[in-house]
Amino acid sequence: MIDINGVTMTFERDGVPFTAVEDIDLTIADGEFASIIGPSGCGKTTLLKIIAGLVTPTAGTVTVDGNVIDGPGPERALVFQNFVLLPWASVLDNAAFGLEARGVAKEERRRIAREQLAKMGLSGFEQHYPRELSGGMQQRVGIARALAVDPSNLLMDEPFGALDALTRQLMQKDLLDLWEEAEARTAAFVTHSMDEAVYLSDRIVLMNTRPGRIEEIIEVPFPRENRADVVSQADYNEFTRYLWSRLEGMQRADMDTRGADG
Amino acid sequence: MSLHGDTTTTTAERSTVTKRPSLSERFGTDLPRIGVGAGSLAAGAVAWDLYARSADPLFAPRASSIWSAFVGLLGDSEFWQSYATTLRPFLWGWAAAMVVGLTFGLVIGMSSTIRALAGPHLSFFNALPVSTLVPAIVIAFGIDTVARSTVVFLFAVIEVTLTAASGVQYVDRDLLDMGRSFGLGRVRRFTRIILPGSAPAIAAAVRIGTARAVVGMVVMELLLVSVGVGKLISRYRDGFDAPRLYAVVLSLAVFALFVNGLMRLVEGRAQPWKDDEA
Repeated sequence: MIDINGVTMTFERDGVPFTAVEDIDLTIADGEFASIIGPSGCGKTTLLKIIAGLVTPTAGTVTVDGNVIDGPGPERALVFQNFVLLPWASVLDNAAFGLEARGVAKEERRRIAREQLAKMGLSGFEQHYPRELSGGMQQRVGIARALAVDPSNLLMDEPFGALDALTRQLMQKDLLDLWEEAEARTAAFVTHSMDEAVYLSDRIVLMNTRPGRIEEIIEVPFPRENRADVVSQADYNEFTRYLWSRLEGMQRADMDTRGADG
Repeated sequence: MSLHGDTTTTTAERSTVTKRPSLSERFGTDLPRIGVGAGSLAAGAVAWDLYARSADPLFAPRASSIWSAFVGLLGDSEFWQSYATTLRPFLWGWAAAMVVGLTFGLVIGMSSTIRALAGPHLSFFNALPVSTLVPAIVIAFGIDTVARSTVVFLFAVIEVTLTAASGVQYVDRDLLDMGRSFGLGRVRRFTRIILPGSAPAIAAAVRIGTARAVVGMVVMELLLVSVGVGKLISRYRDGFDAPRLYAVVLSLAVFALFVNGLMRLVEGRAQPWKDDEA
């Protein structure tokens, strides 16, 4: 479970204080898949980094699985937008890297990494370097690396943002399948894509800019089991139309304030 | 390889990963470039020769006479002994500059405090022409191997330090964040991310430092009492033997090119994960 309480993050940017996120309250329940979506600059990535413990908020606390965090912890794992694999290490060593960081013995971590890679359909690529893999395959390694440490909370920062549309759809489906078979695991998923958020999440957290804040939290009104068929339903169209109107409104308002500023 | 920590991939496994191009593949696309380069060099020699026809032979000897003097030197045992004498302090100074410069560079790159403290000193020594220190070195160490090695060392060490330090600072921040998110400890952070991440800069530091060490070697031979290659140079200078003088200079250029090529080879080998066909 992830419990965010009154979190504010202020940076100093060119000597001017800049509030990335302000007074965020959000609880993501055990086993829940929550997407965080909003126009660029709404602080969604900052919020995810705060949950990951990579950034310390100026005010407020984050409680994960009952403990107030003050840095990264073994109950969380992060998947990065640009994969962030070690270019000099094999796919196997990359997938095992989280375990290595946590001091798991070599045989053990390789066994686990091999298992995770197999689940991601990467058997046979263990000895390749990341650059020899496509973007989609590289992100599969990134996901395998995160799942290898068996985190109860999976944090993903636009993990499919750098992939082409087709690869993206395939990855979404595979992630959902992995999700279904995993035991109760909590997910915070930052995305730009409305469809992706609707397809994957139990709840969608809409964030707005200047300062970054939560605008609305929306339950996805479709059962997760047959999400794949959801596209044909009229309800889906109505739901996405609503989501889109909210996002469009925020994006336009943000453009207007920027225009007024400059 | 030490950089890879505990990867135990065998050569056979590795070779399926990186396909090494065959010789003809490697040079096939390079042929026009090599041809242009060789042609340009030949044109330079011809231009020199045209000039030398009408110039004072003491100042500008014919290309052919330089070449035959060069070939003559290659068959002369004294020539090789001179190089052996010169290369000993070169190797000592070079090795010391690498060890000290790389270590110091890595430390400076990682610690902003040490960087702030060492920065002004490095800038000072970087701006200072090293040749001006030679008299002080003579007073301190005399003119033997220690003094000679010191000159070579001083010529190379600052560049090595600065290049290595900047490499560490440019290690991918995302990788460091990724390591931190998995709770990576200090030692592994260094061995698994910082060291391999700055491998390109370390290789560049070695290459640049080596070129500087070669310059230091020549300066050391000319400014200290000459015993090696410098002795050949001063002898041919004093005897107004221009062809042999130029032949020694030519040999130094060939030596520098050879060392430089060696370093580039090492640079490529040090980063097997880089796509060398790209």
